[in-house]
Order: sequence, then structure tokens, then C-alpha cells
Amino acid sequence: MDIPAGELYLRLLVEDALDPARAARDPERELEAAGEALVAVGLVGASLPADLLGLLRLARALRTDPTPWPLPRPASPPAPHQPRPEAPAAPRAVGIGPVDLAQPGGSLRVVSVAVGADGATIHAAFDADPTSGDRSAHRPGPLRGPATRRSRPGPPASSRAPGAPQAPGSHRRHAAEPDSPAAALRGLRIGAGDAEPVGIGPAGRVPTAPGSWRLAGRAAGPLGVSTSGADRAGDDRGGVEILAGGRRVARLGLSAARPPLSGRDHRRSPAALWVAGALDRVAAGVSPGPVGPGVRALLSVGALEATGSLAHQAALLDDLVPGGDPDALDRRWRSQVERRAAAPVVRGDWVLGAFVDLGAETVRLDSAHAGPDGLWVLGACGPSPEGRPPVTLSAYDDLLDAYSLVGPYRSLPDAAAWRLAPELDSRARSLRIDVTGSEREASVELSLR
Amino acid sequence: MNRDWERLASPVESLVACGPNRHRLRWQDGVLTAVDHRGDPDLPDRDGEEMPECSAVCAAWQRHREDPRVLVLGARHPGDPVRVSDETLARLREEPGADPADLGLLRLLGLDPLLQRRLHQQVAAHLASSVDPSDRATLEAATTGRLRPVLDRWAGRREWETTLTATAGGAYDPRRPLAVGVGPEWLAEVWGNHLAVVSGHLVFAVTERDRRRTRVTALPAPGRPLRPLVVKGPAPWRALLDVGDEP
Repeated sequence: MDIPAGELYLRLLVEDALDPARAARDPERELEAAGEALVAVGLVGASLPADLLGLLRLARALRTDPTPWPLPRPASPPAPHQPRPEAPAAPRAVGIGPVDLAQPGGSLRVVSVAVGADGATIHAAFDADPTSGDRSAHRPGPLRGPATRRSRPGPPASSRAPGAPQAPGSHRRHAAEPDSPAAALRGLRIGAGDAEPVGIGPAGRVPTAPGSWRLAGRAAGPLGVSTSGADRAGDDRGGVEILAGGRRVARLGLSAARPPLSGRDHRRSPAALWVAGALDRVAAGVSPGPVGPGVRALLSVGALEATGSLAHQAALLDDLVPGGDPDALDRRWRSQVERRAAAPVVRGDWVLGAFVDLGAETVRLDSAHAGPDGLWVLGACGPSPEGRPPVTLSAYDDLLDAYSLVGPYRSLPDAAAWRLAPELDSRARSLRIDVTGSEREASVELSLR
Repeated sequence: MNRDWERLASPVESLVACGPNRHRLRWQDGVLTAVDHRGDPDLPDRDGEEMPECSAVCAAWQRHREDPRVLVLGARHPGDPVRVSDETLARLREEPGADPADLGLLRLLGLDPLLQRRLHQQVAAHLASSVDPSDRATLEAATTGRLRPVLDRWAGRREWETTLTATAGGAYDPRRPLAVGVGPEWLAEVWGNHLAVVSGHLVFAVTERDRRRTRVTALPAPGRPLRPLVVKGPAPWRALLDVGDEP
């Protein structure tokens, strides 16, 4: 009988944790981190680490005097319902804003609309207005007023190629009536050509800062727009229209989708992919780490090569962040460590219009937007196969600085957003976004000029 | 399920608070009995609250005698301070929404350590006979958690490499003195019956079973070969003579 190595490793961690002479400094964190790695590469079921953590907490509680109350429960709580993402099926043409809509509860900025035969998605941002009488959207914390969210000048939207920045004069401000972030989006309709405009169906929101949200909504019906040669903004009937309160408030020219990209095969193991992603997240400052417990788990069960550079870098990074000698680190992690404190300001909106086929996964990158809350890439990403690490997005700029694209959030089934970390270097003129799935990888170029 | 381990396990009797009284619980041949409630109707197959305390303990025993969580939560060695006080149990009883199954499990963890050890043996014997790989992982971890303190006490704290072997007799190579492999039955039969170390010998497996005189394979010291040994019982066991010297 083959003993499941991943489960045995986690159970032995529990045994270590209950032996005072062998326990790690933070045994619960060690168990969590190792469990995360082993779940990501499919060596243990998703619920086992949480179940063991509950048992460990209870076992430790039973060994203290007096026994704490209430006792920790061994059973893991049910996972919150997450909408199952749908795999993007086809490229989409992209109309890019921004279109600002003033409203009583705050300001809504439509940043892009992605349109294809398989549907349409509208991406937006909402900032609550602290001076507004509508408090329903407010959250504690510093708030930005609508006046601070202005787009910078650029060439006309209708003439932009994929990757080109925002057009001059396309910044529009109109009155609208919504009273909350979700209602703001649902109050819009989008249309194209002579067809009847459609409302926004399922919509979701994710907080990005106090009083700010990223929103995504799916059109309730097809728009009947082709994704190729769709850039007809010069034609009054072309592009995509945004309607609020029954009247047209903006028309966005559509940039044609890029031809679909097929990823090239890579030979990295699921464990190596997980470690690389974890190193990215720690170095970018979006995860506290440590990576070490996960790496040790993967090494122990034979899923990761002990002599590989990833294991070495994980050990270095755990010891060196913060402080230490950055020269010992791979440039990918080092550059992020060095630049973490800097926050150069970059503003802009760019069309990506990319569809990437990674074999086991598909990814759509619609547009990129740099604002006060950083650079965001908007699109969609289907689920990874069971027991495989999620699709990883990383990036290099033309100065060879490395970035991690963190996320995605999945606010509704066919939309995702990734945030670039650390902040984009203001001297960068282009960005290469590497999309890595469990079997294949591909790169999407983005010109920032 | 292999019940050979029961042939070496002495009966255990303990008192529990049952209402205003203290009643006897008796474990013998794999069965826990509420001695002072023998005439009561059959116990329901659940962790019941509407029954005398010692009957409720028996019901919990029935329910959890194959529950692997017992081995994760329970004591690894006599100095491992697992405590579930009557006060804790009383508070859990009064907690709205408390799961009766949790209460039953905690009841068992508050029993006399000797009774708890019999429960560990029952669970371990169940896991040893299971063909589920997950059960085997649970058993290997539980065995490691109990074998390492034994090894530390026997030969001092070292970086022991403990494994669960597929064969009942375990495995030991004197050239790798810190690598100790014991069989799936070790926890139930050796550790549970206080046979882990007898007269300075680390016991790997039992080969013949009798509560008064039994045979084992044992290691006199790290780096030496395994040898057969006759030990005299019941616990505390002591080495009688090497098998080769037996008349």
C-alpha cells in the first residue's frame, strides 16, 4: 500500500507541533503554509490542511492548564461560495475609456468594455464620495474625490492600436442616478450598431482601497459585434455605446482583438510553478510568507528538486526579507526587494485585446489601467485543472525590472483583474506579460508609450 | 480487524462521576461496560445526553472506537498532559449548538489514562487493518508521535528516522542505528500494552502472546542486531531470558 506522502507530511508536522522539543516556532503557520503548497500541486485534498489545523489547535488547547474556552473546533468551517470562473472562449474587441459618470454616491469610471461573440464584459472603478448624502457606499478611511480621477491626454480612442494609450478628449463626465457601486453598474446599458442596447446582468465588486471598488459586469445579452476590424469609431454607427438613464453618454471605438496566442510547452513541474509564484508574491510584498514551509513540504515528498535554484532562492528570501544582502538573490526577486519602497507614478489606459490558449487553461487580457491604486490588468481566466497551481502572471519591463501580477479577483464568472506589484517604474516604456499555465506559457507585449 | 493485541491487554477498571455517584467503567476483551448500569436498556447508537454519564461514556466509546482523531488529540506518553476537566465538559454541555459528537470525544479524552490507552489501541488496530492509504498515513504519524518519545527515553534524544513497515516484525539495520521501522501493529500491541521498552530492550514486535509469558523481538541498544526475547508479564513487563537460553 502506498502511503500518501503529502498527507503523511502534514500529519507528521502535527506530531512535531505537539512535541515541545521538536515544534517549529509557529507550528500552525508552518502547517498552513505546507498545506497550501501541497494542495496547490494536488498532493492533498483541499480540506485536509484546515481539518488538521483545527485538530492541532484543539490538541494544543487540551494541553494547556486551564483549558481555554471556548475550545477550538476541529472541523473546518465550510468554504465561502466562490463563483466558478468560466474559461474564456474567444478573443474580444476592446473599447477603452475612461468614461466618468458623476453620481450622488460617488463617481463611476468605466475603464473598458470587452465585446465578443461569446458575450460582453464592462470593467469599471467606483470611488465613494464622502461629501455625498448617500452613505450606502461609504467605508471608513481616506477617500479620493472624483476630481482627482482625471485621465491624461492621449491620441483618439478610435485610432489606437492594441497597447496604445488613452485618447485626448475621451474623458467624459455625465450625470447618472445609481446609489451604490453595484447599482452604479446595473444602471447602465451597452449597445452596438442598430441592435437594441442590453442591460448589465451579473455584476460583482471587489474593494481595492477604503471607499474604492473595482467592478465588473456582464452584458445581459449578445451585442452582435465582430471582434475583427471592429475599430469603426469614425463611423457614427460603429464602436460600443454606453447608455445611462436611457440616453447615450459615451461611445467607445473598438480596437480589434489580437490573433489568439497559443502557449509554448514548458517543462516546469507544478511544484516549481507554485514556488515561483509564492516567491513572486513574497518579494512583491503581497504575501507575508514564509515560503520555506511550503518548499520543505514539496522537497520532503519529492515534488521539488532539492538542488534546484528555486529551493535555494526560497531559503534566501525567507532569511533576507526584510534586510540582508539582496545581491544573493535572483534578479527577479532582488529587483522587487530593492524597489519595494519606491512608488513612481504612472497613469494611463491601454488596450490589450489578447486571448491566450495554454492548453489546460485559457486567459483573456482585455486592457490595462494605471491609476492611483496601481496598474491593473483586466480580463478573464478560467479555472486550472484540479490539483494544479493557478495560472501565474508575471512581467518584465524594458529596464528588466521584474513584477508579479497578483490576483486574480473573481467577482463574477467571466471577469478577473490582476494588480501589478510592485509599482510600475515610471521610466518603463513597455511591459512583457508572461502568462504561465500548468503546461504552457506565452507572452503578451504591452507598449506603455 | 486483528485482535491479537487484546490477548496481552489486561482488564482496566475506573470510576467516573455519574450524577451524585461514582460508578465503575470496565474495559475487558475489547468491550467497555458501565458496570453499575448493566440492567439498563440498550444504549442508542449516538453520543446521547439523556442518559447516565457512565452510559454516555460507553456510547461515546462505541462511536469513536475507530475515530482517527482520538490518536491526534490523545496523549503520546504518560507525561503528555491532556486534560478535559468535568468543568470543561459541563460548559460544553451548556453551550448552545454544541455538537454531541464533540462532547462524546472530549468525554473519552477526560477518562483515566489507562482507559484512554485501550481506546488508542482499538483505534490503532482498526487503522492497521484498513486498506485505506489515508488511514495508513494517520497510523504512521500516530506511531511516530508515540515511538519518538520512547526512543528518546531509551537512548537519549537523537534525530531518529522512524517509519512504518509493511511487515509486522518491523525492520532494523545496525548500520543505520537511528533508523527504526516498526510494523502497523506496534502501536496497539507494543506501545498500548506497555511493552515498548522492557528491561532496557526496545521491543519491535510480539511473536507469541500470553499475558504472563510472551515472546518479542527486541533491540538491546542502538547499532546492535534485533534478538528474540522472552518477557514476563503482566505490565510492568521484565525480560526473563533470551530465547536461546530457554530450557
